[in-house]
Amino acid sequence: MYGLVNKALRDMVIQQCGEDVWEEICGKAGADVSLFISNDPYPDALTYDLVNYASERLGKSPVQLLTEFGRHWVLHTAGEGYGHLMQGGGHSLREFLPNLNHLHSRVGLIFPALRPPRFECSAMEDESLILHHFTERDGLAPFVIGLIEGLCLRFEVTARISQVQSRERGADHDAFFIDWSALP
Amino acid sequence: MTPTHAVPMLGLDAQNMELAFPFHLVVDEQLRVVQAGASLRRLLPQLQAGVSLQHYFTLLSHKGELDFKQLCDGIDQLIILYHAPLQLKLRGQFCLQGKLGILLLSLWLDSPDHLGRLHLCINDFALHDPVIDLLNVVQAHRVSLDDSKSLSRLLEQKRRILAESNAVLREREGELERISRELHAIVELSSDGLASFDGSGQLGYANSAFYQLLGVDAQSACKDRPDSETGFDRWVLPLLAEGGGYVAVADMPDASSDLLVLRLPRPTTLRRSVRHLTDEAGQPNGRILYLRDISREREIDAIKTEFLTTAAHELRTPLTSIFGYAELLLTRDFDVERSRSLLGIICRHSRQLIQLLNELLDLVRMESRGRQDFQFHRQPLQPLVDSIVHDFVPPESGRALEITADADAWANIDTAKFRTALGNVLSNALKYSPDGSPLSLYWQRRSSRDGSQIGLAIADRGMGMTSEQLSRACERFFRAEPNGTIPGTGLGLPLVLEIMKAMDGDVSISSQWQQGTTVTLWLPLVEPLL
Repeated sequence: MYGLVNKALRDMVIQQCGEDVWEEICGKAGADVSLFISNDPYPDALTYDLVNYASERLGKSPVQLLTEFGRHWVLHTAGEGYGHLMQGGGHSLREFLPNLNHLHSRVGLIFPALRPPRFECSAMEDESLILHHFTERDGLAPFVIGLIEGLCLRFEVTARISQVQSRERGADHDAFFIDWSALP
Repeated sequence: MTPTHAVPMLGLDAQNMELAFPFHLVVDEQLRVVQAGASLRRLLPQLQAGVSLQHYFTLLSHKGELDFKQLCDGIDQLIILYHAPLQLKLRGQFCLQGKLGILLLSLWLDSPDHLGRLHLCINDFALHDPVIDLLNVVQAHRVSLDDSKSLSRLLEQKRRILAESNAVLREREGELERISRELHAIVELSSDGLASFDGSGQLGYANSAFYQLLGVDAQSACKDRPDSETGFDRWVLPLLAEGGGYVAVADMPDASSDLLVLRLPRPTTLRRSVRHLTDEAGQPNGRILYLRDISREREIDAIKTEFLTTAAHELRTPLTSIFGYAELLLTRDFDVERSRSLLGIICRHSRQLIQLLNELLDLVRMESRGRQDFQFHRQPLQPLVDSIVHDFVPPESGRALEITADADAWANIDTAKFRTALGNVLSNALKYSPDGSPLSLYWQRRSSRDGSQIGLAIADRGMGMTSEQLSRACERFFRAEPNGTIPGTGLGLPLVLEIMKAMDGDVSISSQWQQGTTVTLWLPLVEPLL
């Protein structure tokens, strides 16, 4: 993954527990640096180790940590680093989600080693849809849920998010039903 | 009237025209707006068909402001439309279709933030339009710049920490250097040998004493010099007085020690001790080898043991007699004459015992207090010698005395101690020479590094000593006549030697077996008092 992701995790951990804890986590994960270069690719295993040790150190389950990380990604990192893309992605949740592939394609132009996920939207209604998430990476469903939660906050909607299909249960991809119709 | 929606142009149907050129403008020959793309309409809802383009935009090229004809003439020029209120720039090219001019434009954004300020989204741009991607590139560069700044700050921080650490290190190094110099001086001053070997057994450090104890020239580069643990083993093995049982340094347990008896120029006993070193992880990391020459200690131990044994024996001999005769007197009845004879023996042995103990005490006192008890007086020696000789060899003794006089023989001495010393020598001369044989006393002088010395020689013509007996004459309890027929303690001459040395003098003895012995008492010669 690109350093931007590790940096985002760093920012979140430092926000919650301070720089010393992050240094400790990096040490445990065997990272020889604690400051990552945003535009450089790093091994996925390192990111997974950082997440696991952060979860252990912060006393949160990996699911909880990944969900928080997804929210942090949308609200802070992507917003700060590539805010124009977030802004340009659409004026509403319904406009934004179908544009995810479009956004990733454009990002891929400047990050040649990017292996982005693929998204599809189905059952699209005015205030609900099913978001399909295709990726070669394991265990990222909580992160996607966090991303959706972050987007809901960004577009100021309250949504019910439920995973309707799971790779962990044998499906070829994860799918999430997002419904923001009934809630105020 | 708002500008009309796109109509088929450039061979594209209306929908594709909107998708491909969402910011296009169509103008007539008077440069009035005829048609505008959807995104441009969304951006500028006030755009009206029939209104001059120049009402909204400034039309720029490198030639400055243009009219329709100039546009037609400069069809290969880059066209820029500038909308001052929104500070918008549209860039593109001009095409002519019939009597209409088509401006194929795209929106120029000068920063990623600009997109948000205009409330546009990526769907407002044609897919072939790279403006969003250019913004991404700009943003990527900005992020890189931020990273560079962060790294630069981090590096500066690390540099400061390193500089501080270096300063502390330099301070510590200085301190270590000082301690090291002190330790080096201490270790070099030591007469004990110290050597450290690293984890691979190679010599790291050895003090001078280490080499001296092994009889090695520290500067030499001989093949077998002990530059490693095995080198030490190789060096020592041929020097061992007794071959078997040698344990290699590497095989010695931690904190263990043993004795090495070496045949160096003189036999030397070394106590060898080994301490194993470990690193922070507790792994073996070398050894310290410690050598101590205990030859002298062992010699002194042997002398003490011999002295105690001899002293005990010498004390026991008269005591046994005293006890035996006392017991006889208690258990049996003797006539008066026999009783007196036995009491006489007891008395003689008691006197001998007292003399022995007195001499022992004198010797011990001399050893422990040195010359502290001496009371020195500068005085002429001749009158004192005459007085002592008169006491020990009275005229009625029947001994012929040959005495030379030296009125200038002055010395700084303790009178009583000198009396004891000369008395012991005279007593020996009398005991070890036949009755009636003459004694000679004469003065000698010699020069030494410390000045002139005066010597009083006492020569007898008695049994004399063999060269071996002569070499041991000043040993405690040594008796030239061990059979006990001549009374004595074996402490007389050692005491004489101690006294003379305490007065900065000396004793020299020459003797010939069956010919006689000459003992000379030497003292520093001093100027007579006027």
